[in-house]
Amino acid sequence: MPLGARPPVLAISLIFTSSLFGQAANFQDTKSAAATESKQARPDGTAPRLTSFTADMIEQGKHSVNAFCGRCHGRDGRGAKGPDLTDGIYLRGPMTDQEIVDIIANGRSGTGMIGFGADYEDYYLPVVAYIRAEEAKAKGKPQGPKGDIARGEAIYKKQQCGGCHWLNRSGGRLGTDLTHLAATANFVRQKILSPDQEIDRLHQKVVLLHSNDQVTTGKRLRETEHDILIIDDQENLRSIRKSDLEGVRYSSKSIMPSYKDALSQQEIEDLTAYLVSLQQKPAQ
Amino acid sequence: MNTIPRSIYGVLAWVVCATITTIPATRCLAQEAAKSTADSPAISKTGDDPSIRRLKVSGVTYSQILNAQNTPGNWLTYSGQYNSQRYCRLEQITTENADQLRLKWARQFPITEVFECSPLVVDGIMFVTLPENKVRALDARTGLVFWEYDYVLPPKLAICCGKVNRGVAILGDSLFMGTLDAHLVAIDSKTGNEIWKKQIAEGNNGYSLTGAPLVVKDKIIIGVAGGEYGIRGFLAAYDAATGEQVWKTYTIPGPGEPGNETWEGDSWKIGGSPAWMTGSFDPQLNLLYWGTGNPGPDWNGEVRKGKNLYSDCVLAINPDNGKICWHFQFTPHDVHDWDACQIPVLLDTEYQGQVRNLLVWANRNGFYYVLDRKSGEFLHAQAFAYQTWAKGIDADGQPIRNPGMEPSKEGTWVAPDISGAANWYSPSYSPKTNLFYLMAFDGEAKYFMTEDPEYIPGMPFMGGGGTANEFEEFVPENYTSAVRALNPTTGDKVWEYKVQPKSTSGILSTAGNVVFGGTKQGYFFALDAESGEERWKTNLGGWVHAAPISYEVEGQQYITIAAGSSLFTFGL
Repeated sequence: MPLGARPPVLAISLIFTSSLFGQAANFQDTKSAAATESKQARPDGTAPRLTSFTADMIEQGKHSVNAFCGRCHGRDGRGAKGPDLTDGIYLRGPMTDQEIVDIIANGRSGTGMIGFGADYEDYYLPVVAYIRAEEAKAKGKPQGPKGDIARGEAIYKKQQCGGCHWLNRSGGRLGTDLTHLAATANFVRQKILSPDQEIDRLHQKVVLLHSNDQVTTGKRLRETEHDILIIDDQENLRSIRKSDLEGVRYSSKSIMPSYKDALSQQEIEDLTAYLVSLQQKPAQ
Repeated sequence: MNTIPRSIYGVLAWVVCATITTIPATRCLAQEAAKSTADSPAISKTGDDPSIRRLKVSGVTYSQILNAQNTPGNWLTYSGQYNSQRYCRLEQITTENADQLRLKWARQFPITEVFECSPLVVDGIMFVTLPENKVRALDARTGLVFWEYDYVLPPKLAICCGKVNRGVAILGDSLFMGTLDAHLVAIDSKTGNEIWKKQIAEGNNGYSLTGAPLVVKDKIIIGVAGGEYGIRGFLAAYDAATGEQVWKTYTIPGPGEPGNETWEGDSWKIGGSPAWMTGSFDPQLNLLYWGTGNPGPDWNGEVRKGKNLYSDCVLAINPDNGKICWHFQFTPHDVHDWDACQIPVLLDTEYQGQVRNLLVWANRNGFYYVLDRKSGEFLHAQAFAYQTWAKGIDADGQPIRNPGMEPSKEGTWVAPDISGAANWYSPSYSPKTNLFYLMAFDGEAKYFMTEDPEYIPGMPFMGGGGTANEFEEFVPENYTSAVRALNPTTGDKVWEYKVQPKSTSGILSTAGNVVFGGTKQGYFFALDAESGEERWKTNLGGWVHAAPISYEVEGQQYITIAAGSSLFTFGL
């Protein structure tokens, strides 16, 4: 999610299900020893990296990532609209184990990352164990998309992506803000090729048919039992009483068109490379 | 909501629309955007790529803010209008029907800091800031959230008084907010996307921004907070489109500038004098009026002998170049932390047989001042609250001080108390009743001084302190807090509405002759603007430490107030 703007949160359920606690109970002993070590070893406020995670912890972490992180980071942690957790790349520089635990607990202000609460901190170390284990495997492997960033930027302009997407200081308002995109190359590529494959239900396109026969189309921002809030196609924020509507139609198509036929494979790689590169240069 | 449309036209429209949704309409939109670049938006210098332009020229223009009195359904600037009267011309809610006010919506926020915001409303969209520099766009009819913006603050902040913020300014499609780490940010009002961000001072050295900026022409004007941190105060103007600084005016003159001699030695370098609240503007005179805060260290004046200009002043400034045209100092060489951080109220009324352009000011030091806002000429002052520090104000506007009122090691009892007879919470002026309204406090405090305060950048630099409400010497019930209605030219009290304990809400007056305010204990009330009689009250369950606003959506007048961690909106 972009730094700064955040759509009204529907996000991930904060509820830890009993099944997680059930699983957690199995590794209580191994894990609490590691946790104690981690906490004691930071008189200067930083934690050393724990190198001896048990196989059990790594396995438990994998389950937690699947259950709780997957919606944004991919079910295997390899990234989706949220960053890849397994590639050893940290957008704001290398992190200690404790720093990762803190982010899981408190979230990251200004991004889509929510906090799961400090009360469950001991359950986060297995997630760290999984992240570290995967990170070790990723060492030395080539990373990142293969496209050319500069060519990608030119394609972005030529295709007028800015008509819908906000980037840095301006752009359209119906698409996603790409300024601080944290998504992986795979996710970006998939969105360019087949945006309808997994559409954001919260922000889907809606068609409102008013009782006076007028029609409004736009992107849904929030909906309750009685009201629907949208940004319409003319980019006006609007709040409409459902009692004033004949009906609401939810489009199964993304607002985003597919560029499968409009761009060559190389061009798609270039564009992907450009969009992924944006996360490395926050706007100032 | 799958009702079948009743008319044939409806069916057709439905089919057409359903079809449209399957077409990649965004490419058309993008092409339209490229074509529309000839239309210059309200703010045009955006983006590096000319093909990326706003689709639609929209938003709030300077001319709209200038004529805000003609669109009372909107609340376009911090105090409602440039004259900062916090008076709304809507008259659906009146003294006769105010007892029928009911809750229209409430919105809770997960905040723990004090909620001090006075929101803006533009065509049914409300823009509110939460503590810790978070912005929300709400539907002003339902309180539902359109978008959220969370500024990322550093973990350590050098701030005196909580992670507060009092609101945004708007121009075009951009909102502007000052942050606690002394940055100014521009945010897109339709999406909450960040447009630009500029550091305007060094937050680590005690500079911060808490007040709402003021838009004048194409500039964003804001002053810094930090009077408790040995800053050198200033206010400055920034280009709305780019955030580039246009001018910067220090509230403490540098060497060679007139006024620098009012600071002994190098004390001017760390003399505080912030400008942390929002100013007012007179477009006819082209003058900006801005209050300045206390000299620092607050309570030890020994280390900064002299009048300490321009602390505790009102400055009249040319908004085009930042030049100070005149100044008036309310409390020369202040040793009690009596910032002139009040909202400057501009009004034109008869003064001694002649209609004059007045600037009126109920100051933290307990005196009500009337100035000619064109020349800065002092016209009149008298106490509006209990005070013991001065015998009065002389013909030149200078206080005639009582002896022995300086803070001491043992503590000195002085009135007003440490947070003043008035403070930042907005007053109001109703042209209909010709009365000036404010939340006043008749308090006193024991003022202490510590010797040889040491200046360390980014650390509090105050040189003393005073008793706060919870100290045992202080019995709140002994002191009166009240909404007072004053004759605007004499300062005479016309009526008062007492509240307990000391309360800190801003005041709103309306053309329905209703005055709104709130209390520390969470009461929110409507008074008859002529008599001060209570017409309605309710308890909101949280401290009212903000100012009410009024606006209209679909013909319905609303009153909104922040209290506790929530926003409450009332209507008939």
